[in-house]
Amino acid sequence: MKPSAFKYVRAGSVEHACALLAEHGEDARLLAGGQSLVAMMNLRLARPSVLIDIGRLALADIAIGTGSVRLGALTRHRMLIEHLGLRRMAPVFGETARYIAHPTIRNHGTAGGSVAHADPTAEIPGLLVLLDGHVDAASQGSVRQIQGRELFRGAFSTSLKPQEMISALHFRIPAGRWGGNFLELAERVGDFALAAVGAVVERDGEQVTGARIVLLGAESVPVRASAAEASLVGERLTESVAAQAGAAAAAAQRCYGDVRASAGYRRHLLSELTRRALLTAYARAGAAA
Amino acid sequence: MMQITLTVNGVTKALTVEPRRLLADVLRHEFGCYGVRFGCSHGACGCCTVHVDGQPRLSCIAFAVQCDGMSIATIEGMPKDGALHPLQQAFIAEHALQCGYCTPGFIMALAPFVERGTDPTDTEIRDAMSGNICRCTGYDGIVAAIRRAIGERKRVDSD
Repeated sequence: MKPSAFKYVRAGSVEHACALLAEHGEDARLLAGGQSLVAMMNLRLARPSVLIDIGRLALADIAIGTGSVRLGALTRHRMLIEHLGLRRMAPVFGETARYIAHPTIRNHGTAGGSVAHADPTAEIPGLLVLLDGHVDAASQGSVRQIQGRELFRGAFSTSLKPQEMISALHFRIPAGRWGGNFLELAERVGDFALAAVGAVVERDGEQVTGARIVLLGAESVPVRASAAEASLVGERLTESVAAQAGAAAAAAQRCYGDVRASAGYRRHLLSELTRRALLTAYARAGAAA
Repeated sequence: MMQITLTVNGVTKALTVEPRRLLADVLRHEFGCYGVRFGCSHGACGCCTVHVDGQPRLSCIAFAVQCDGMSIATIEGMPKDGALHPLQQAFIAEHALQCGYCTPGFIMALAPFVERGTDPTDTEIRDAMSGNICRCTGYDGIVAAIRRAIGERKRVDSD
């Protein structure tokens, strides 16, 4: 019995959860899948005095619109892999989710929980920034939108207020011919990423009409390689163009070094993963109807 | 303290538990399911895998109070009518364990994979078992056991 003692309350609705957050403030934490939070509580890295269990709320729906995907906050990672509509319209969701931990954890870990946890190299935050996404942050009596790029403040830190909970995630999907790819390198399958890259390429014939690149492992939050993205528009995405874009995207990053990888090695990985992800995304855009 | 009800391997019990008690701890000490093992206690090794409402779940990163009203299966509940689960039998046949500490977690994590698997590649099998660690590093035997169990099930299915 390792976690420190806490009061447990099961929320019956989003409104109820928000009321409990308002009542308990910063002492409270929301419990969704618990795949990161409970591990942190076991290690006593987190010691909330109140746990608000939102795990049974009906917030696990996936809605696909024109140019958009909406995930309920409790969408399990596994659903991103198995959902037929997503597999057809935006297979990059499932491709990204396959890198999240292991099958058992993917049964329970949630999209909203991953974003709120804000691990620096977590996949769902990366996807949110890649796909120009935003979250709905609900509090008592109101909902505000927070853009993905403004949500992540640093490692395990977001701009969510203590009384807010993420109720849904929204992603913007290109309208025309496009392809995506997500690549990650970790020391072991399912372990935390050393570096990861997501790419989306839109094309008209051979020409790139839009590109998005997100880098994980460069900073303590997901970052977009904006200059490299802009340099691709109007180009034919050849091997050498992709290699140049990868090198440029990585060279602009400071990167961090730690016991697992030096900053220089992370920069090398980002360059190479960007090159590969761009080429795959471009080829997929070409194959798309 | 909180009042909860858990059904474990078909036995329903009402319990009064502290919210901070982990599901693994309650399964071991209130239900006597000592096949549920603590390994890393932070979701990295898979030793504590059980089924909650039919789905594999790590019982070291779940609180018992979260599972109030749910149905749980542990390794002790895997034999049916006195016969071991096909994956348990395959573990014996392929000598897929040395010390055995990780074995219940592997069986619980992989049983659903075996029950629906068709003809997985070795890579797919290794991906399915990637959440479980064997410190004796006997992975080849475990891959062989999973393959054997799927083959056995398909043979029975087609009879």
